[in-house]
Amino acid sequence: MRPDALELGRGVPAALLRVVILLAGAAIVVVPLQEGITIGTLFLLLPAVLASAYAPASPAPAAVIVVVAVLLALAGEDPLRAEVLVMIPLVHLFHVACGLAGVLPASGRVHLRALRSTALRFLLVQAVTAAVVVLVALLPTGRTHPVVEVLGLAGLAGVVLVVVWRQRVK
Amino acid sequence: MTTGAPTRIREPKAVAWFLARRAVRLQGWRRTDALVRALVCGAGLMLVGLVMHRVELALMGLPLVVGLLLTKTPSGTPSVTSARGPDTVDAGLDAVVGVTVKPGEGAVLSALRMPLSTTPGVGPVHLLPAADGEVRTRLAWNAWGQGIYLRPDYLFASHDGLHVFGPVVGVAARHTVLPPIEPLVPGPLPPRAAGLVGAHRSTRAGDGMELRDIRPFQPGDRLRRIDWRVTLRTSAAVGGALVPQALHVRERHAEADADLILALDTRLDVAREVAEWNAHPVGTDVRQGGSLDLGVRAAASIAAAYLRNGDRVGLIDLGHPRGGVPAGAGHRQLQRIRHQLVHTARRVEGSGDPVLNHAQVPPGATVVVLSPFLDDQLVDVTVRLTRRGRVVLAVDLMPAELAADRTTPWGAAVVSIVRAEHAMRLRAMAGHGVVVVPWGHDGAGGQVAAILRRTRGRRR
Repeated sequence: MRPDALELGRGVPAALLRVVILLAGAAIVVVPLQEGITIGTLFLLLPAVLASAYAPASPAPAAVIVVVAVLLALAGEDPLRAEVLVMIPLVHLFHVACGLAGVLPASGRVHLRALRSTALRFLLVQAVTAAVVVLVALLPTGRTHPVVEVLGLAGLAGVVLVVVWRQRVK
Repeated sequence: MTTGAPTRIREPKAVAWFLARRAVRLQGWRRTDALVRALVCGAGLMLVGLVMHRVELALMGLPLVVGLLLTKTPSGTPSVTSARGPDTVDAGLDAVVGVTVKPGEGAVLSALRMPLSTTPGVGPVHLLPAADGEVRTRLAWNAWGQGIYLRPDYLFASHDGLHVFGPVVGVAARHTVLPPIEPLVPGPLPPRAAGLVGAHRSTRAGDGMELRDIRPFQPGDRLRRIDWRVTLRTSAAVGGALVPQALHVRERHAEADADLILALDTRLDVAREVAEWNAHPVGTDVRQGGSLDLGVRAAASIAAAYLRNGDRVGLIDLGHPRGGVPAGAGHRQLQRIRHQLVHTARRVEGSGDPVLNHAQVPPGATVVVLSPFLDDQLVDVTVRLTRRGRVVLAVDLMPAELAADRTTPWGAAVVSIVRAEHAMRLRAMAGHGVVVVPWGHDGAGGQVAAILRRTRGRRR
């Protein structure tokens, strides 16, 4: 036996990941309701959240992300209002929790040290996002020059190409 | 009429390309829904946000895209290997079981199926960090029987489950957990008629140590057996002359071995819940705490105690006539009986006629019948064996308490009838000279040994 071997403990039930999905989903549902969006939230968002908790490795979490983004965009004009700032980490948490729950049966066990790198990475991504939010808040509002818009679209296209290139399976 | 080579249907290139791509996606590292979600939703929200001048859409898609940019595609072929363990272990012991994990480059999470000491079987899937090394767990072999104790199914994933490798079904490791042995104090058994070697005092004269009688010398007696003190006293009584009539010899008991035959009823496996008597237990061959479990434990314990005493012990499978073990002695015989007990307990086939005839039992052997005695046929064959002069002990494996089936209003009545019939069978056996003793969860080994001791006295 190697001395650096990993001793297997009991861990916590994998259903805890589904609980995290439900909690994040509940918060995602509550925010649009606070803004007065009732029909879209209850008839589109809530079923998608429940479906995501039941089947995390399905298109349901994507539907949650898209629907909540559209609902929030339609609800108000201020892009940096509190509801949006709260929703950014919530949607990310929902996405990560669904990704982890998708690789593990609901009857499995989760060992918390396995989530350490995921938690650090979550914080890193949120720090980068917060920096971009601060940058957006500092930029002047008003009409954007067409050249800047074209450059933005070209940059986004470049990012997408880089992502696709990096994520190709070797 | 035309002849020629069989025509080969060629797939269109597009179809072949599609099938090849699909085959590639099913093996090795592959993308998951989470990666597609992050790419489509993240980049899509940012694109729509830029086009529609809605910054909040772009901000909500930003973490997903950043996460993708920070993720490196894993490579290599992960593997999980386990060392071969022992094929046979004793119940009640524990051991450390380990597997060696090689996650490859870029894997962050591993979902590994490993057993837990608290639950039987191959265990749940554990989400662990994907580190190169060994993962081990401590197992306790509480339940006897054959089964798979380790099957390390595995799946490796990159950050946030964006890529996965697997799931791959691991190589199953099987073993046999032998029934436990409770310490019993064996009593003396009725010695068998054949053979004059062993640990038990025979009723016949022989070369043992124990004094049997002092009698006049007869032709054929060995000279070293002459008791000179008695001989001189006798010759003095007849005048002092050492005549042949005055010679006396010391006669000793012979020492003989004994045969013990354990007849186990493997046709039935009943536990406390009457409603589950016809149901097959889930995940195991035998109900824990059921009659067959008790019977196997009792048979193993009795066999171990008497084999340790130097006796010959055999096993009869009442449900399968060819499944027994002939009487024998020694440690190897104990292992043979324990293996056979595990094997026979896997074939519970419901009620059938029990097979226990005179030819199966060696002459002079003591028979211990272990059964819940739920049918009259077994009582018949047990009584018939007793009437042929065999010493028979019936060990009752019926649960002390029975829980009625709550799904039917007849549940309580059924329990009453079963109880009454069972008591009647036990009384019938006792009336024909069969000693009946219950074997509870707390064991009754001492009671069985004491009864066997009494039966020896009765037989003499």
